[in-house]
Amino acid sequence: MKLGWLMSPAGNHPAAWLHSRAALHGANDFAHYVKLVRKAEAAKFDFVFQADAAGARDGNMAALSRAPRFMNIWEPLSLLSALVGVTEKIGLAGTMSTSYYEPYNLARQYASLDHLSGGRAGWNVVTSAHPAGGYNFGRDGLEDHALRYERAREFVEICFGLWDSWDDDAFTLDRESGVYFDLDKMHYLRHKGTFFSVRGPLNIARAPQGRPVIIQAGGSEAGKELAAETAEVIFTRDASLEHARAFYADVKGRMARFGRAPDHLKIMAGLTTIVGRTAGEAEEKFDELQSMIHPVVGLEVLSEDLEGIDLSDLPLDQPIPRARIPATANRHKQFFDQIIRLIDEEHLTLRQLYLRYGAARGGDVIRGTASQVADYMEASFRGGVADGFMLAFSLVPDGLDDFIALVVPELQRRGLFRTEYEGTTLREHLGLLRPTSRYQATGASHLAAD
Amino acid sequence: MILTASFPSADTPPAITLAHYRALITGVAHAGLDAALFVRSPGPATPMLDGAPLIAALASVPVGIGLGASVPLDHTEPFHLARAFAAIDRLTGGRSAVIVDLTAGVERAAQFGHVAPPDDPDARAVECLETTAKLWDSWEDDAILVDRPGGLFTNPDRIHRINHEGMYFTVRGPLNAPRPLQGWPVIIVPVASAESRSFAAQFADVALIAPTTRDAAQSACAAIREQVAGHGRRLQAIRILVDLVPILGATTAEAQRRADAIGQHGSALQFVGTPSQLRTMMREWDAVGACDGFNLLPHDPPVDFGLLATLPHTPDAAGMTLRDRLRLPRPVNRYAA
Repeated sequence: MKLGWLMSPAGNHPAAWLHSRAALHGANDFAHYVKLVRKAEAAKFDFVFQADAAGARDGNMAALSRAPRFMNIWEPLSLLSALVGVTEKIGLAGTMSTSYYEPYNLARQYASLDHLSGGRAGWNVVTSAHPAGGYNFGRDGLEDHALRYERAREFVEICFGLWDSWDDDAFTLDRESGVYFDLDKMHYLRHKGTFFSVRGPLNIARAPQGRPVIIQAGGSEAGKELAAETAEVIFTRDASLEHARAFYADVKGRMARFGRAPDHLKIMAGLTTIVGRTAGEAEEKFDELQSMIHPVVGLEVLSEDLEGIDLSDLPLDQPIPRARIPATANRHKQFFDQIIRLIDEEHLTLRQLYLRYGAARGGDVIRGTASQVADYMEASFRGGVADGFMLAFSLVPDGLDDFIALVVPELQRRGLFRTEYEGTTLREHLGLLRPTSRYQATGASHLAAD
Repeated sequence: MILTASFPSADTPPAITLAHYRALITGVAHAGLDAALFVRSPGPATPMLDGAPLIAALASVPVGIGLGASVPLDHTEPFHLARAFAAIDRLTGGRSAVIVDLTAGVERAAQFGHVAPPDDPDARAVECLETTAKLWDSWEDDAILVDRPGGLFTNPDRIHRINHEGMYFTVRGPLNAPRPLQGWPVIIVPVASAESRSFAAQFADVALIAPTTRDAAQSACAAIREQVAGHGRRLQAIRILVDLVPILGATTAEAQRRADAIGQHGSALQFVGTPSQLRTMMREWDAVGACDGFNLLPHDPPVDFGLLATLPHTPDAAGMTLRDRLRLPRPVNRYAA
């Protein structure tokens, strides 16, 4: 079972920072992150993960000043690089957008992170799904979903090519002959496509992992296709086990068309947990946080994932009128569909809806004793739902500490989770192959033909 | 006198590990220098790490020196630049510097071929940095309240859209991160042309020049300072450092032997001698106002910095920002009332 932690300085509950157990200044304090990530490494987590958004949300400041979750974010690559210096083994993964970066710059930065970390980098490929990003890059808000995915596909393809610019043994550094690198082992990409033209080569040696572990999270049709073709990890977040199982089978089933084995993609389900010594204690912790959500924050969390519609005039103790809901999503399809499902299937009032959805952005908060949480995880893991979990904790550091102290030993006792790292790279932790360079692959088949 | 170090060599396996750079900057700190500058440019075939993740990875090394990384202003978006260095400045406890890379060229443009090459790369660079600075200012220093009883994490009146609409960039802002600890990171500009001199005069906290004689240094400094004044900046707002290749030895003869083996590479000013002879030379330049310090480009950093460390110097101190160390003013926030 693979475990990642979606880093959050106070917890992923919208009211977490208000809780007296959260570190008041933790969000902008690197020393706080160092402590947390070292705990995750001591517990042998596969990786920590830094989520991202390409712009500050600044529409509804009354709500955002109470819960600035997408306003105050460490730039992922910088944070992950800094964490390289204070950890030894744990994987370091983060989001960077294909909509606003240049492939050459991104490829270079991720290759740098992979070198500096000795092969622990992971890249979550996103297309960015919020208009706030576009306004910072000369765009008129958010581009069309299909266009973003088309660009993402070409972007990833270029990065893969650039990461193969140099064969693993290209730099000979032979002082006697004066030969610095072997010219035959340097490759120009010469890409000319719809969105980009990039000549290459990348000006950095091939990374220890060949390329960073490729992560994706899209739940749309285009997202699933791209994942089946290129992803090595996908994050899912489906509250319904049935949907999650169908998704798992669907994506893994598509991989054969791209010549890939199902095991070369790890599906990691989003899991927010609160563990207690007793089930009652876990419930109490949850209720305490829920009681702290300010209504304007609750409505903002919903509005964000309902394409930004205004909900402020609606009575809190009645359901949202169906006519107010947009017909389709152009932002995050997964989050949007989740809210629609809650509206259609559970007929919640607006207040119930924001409490239910807002507690973990649509995901269930799995609450209980260590063995109950481990039961839930084991059932998903053995039941064709997930190969592992992207963990989030409602309150940090308590949630992280409790999970590590109580649930990890239980998972280890059941033989579900490692007690030591198997290797040193993120690929080794995840059981993923190191990709062979496209140029060396060609050479190998040529030799075989001889 | 300010002393910095730059490492122009390539980054290749097997030395392309954090341990290698950690040892490198520890040597710089022990030698009593003020900052390590990683000039790392995209485009040329010379293999190089990206400087920004490199200095971020070095943030936790227990030294107090500044850390600089170059940023190509012809192919960087202001929003990316602003957030990366807002993060890096905080991660390093306010010890970061942006080294402005103005060396746009055909080689680099080939990696970004779909973007129309800026008709005026220098104008783009100016606008890029100006926009970036606006983004750094978009959070006032007291924007974060973390007021639990009032339920307010931030003060919405202290966070500003920049609404920049220029020739090359349209950026609404605000930045999604608080203002860097130093206000802005230290801005370092290598001066190699009339354009870069003008850029330095306008923006640089630190200008790097490469004269080959003391007289040339004096006149280069005077020319920059005149332009600095022309931009309405105080002369004390800029530090001018001379690039210098030190080839040191415990004795003059040993230094000379090293120099003979190395030979002359490039056009940079070389100094061959003992550490104390180097210090004498630096003091002479300082006494006549030829510069505010030197940017050392060693051939063999462990050797040269090991020798420099034998001179008496103030020990490396933690807990100081790079601006404090260089006695540079903290930029005033344009949005603060």
